[in-house]
Amino acid sequence: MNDTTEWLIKQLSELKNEDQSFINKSIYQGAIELTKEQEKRAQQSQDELDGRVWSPDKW
Amino acid sequence: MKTLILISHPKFEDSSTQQFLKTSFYSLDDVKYQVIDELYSETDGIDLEKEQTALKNFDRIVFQFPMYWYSSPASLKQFMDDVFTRNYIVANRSLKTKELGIVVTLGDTESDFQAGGAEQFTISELLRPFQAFAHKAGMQYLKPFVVNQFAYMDPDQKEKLLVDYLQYLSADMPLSLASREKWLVERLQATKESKTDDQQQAIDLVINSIEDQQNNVESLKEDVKMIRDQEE
Repeated sequence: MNDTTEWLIKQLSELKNEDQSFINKSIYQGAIELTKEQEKRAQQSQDELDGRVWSPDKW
Repeated sequence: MKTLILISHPKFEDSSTQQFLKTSFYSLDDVKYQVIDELYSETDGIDLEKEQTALKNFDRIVFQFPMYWYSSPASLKQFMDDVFTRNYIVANRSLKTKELGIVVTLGDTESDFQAGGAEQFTISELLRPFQAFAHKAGMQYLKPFVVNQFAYMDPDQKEKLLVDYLQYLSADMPLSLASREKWLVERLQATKESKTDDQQQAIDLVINSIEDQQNNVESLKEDVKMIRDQEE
């Protein structure tokens, strides 16, 4: 997990713990899941870029 | 975007699932609801013109009901037969370009609803009449939203249900990572209400960071697309 995602999860978890509203807690949890998904998508794209740039077809 | 939820449920107030969903959608300003069964319990009966006019004010209309014998409870059918006149739907195309969503609650597990499963038929197959109606009305039919076995859900699952449900009501469709992000940022903004200055600042920082991450995702996606297009 990258530093930004870790930091976001920590911040959002704190906000979630401090909030009494179930709705707000759910929104913060939803944002946590979103940041994980963002990191995954970014990594997938980065991996694909690396793969295509280093394709043997181009050697 | 304005959303109207038309709820069909003979015992709306007694249903813990429906009350959970009600508490959830109360948090959204642009979402209104109507319990159809209450409309029909009024002594004067249903005011056709009033209902037809009211529907025009919304961009997304959501039918919400428990599945009764593979369809909605009778009140929704009654409402559709009464309010969706041929003139209103076909001649005047009154609901054209609006979105039609279905929120269906099940007592059984959703995995029973597939070929070879206990129920044999999929939710999409069983809800086909609503899809046909949307098609006829020129509406955009949204992927049905299924709530199954609410009573067995733990708090984590309920948190997820709440967010997914609220997105179904008010996020841009089809739901993508980008539309989820846009929606969550709006909701995070809304949680700032009644927070301390420090907390509000923390939320602003979180929002900025989430937006940066999203820009990064979009820009990498563009790069991948560019290279793919060059190769193929």
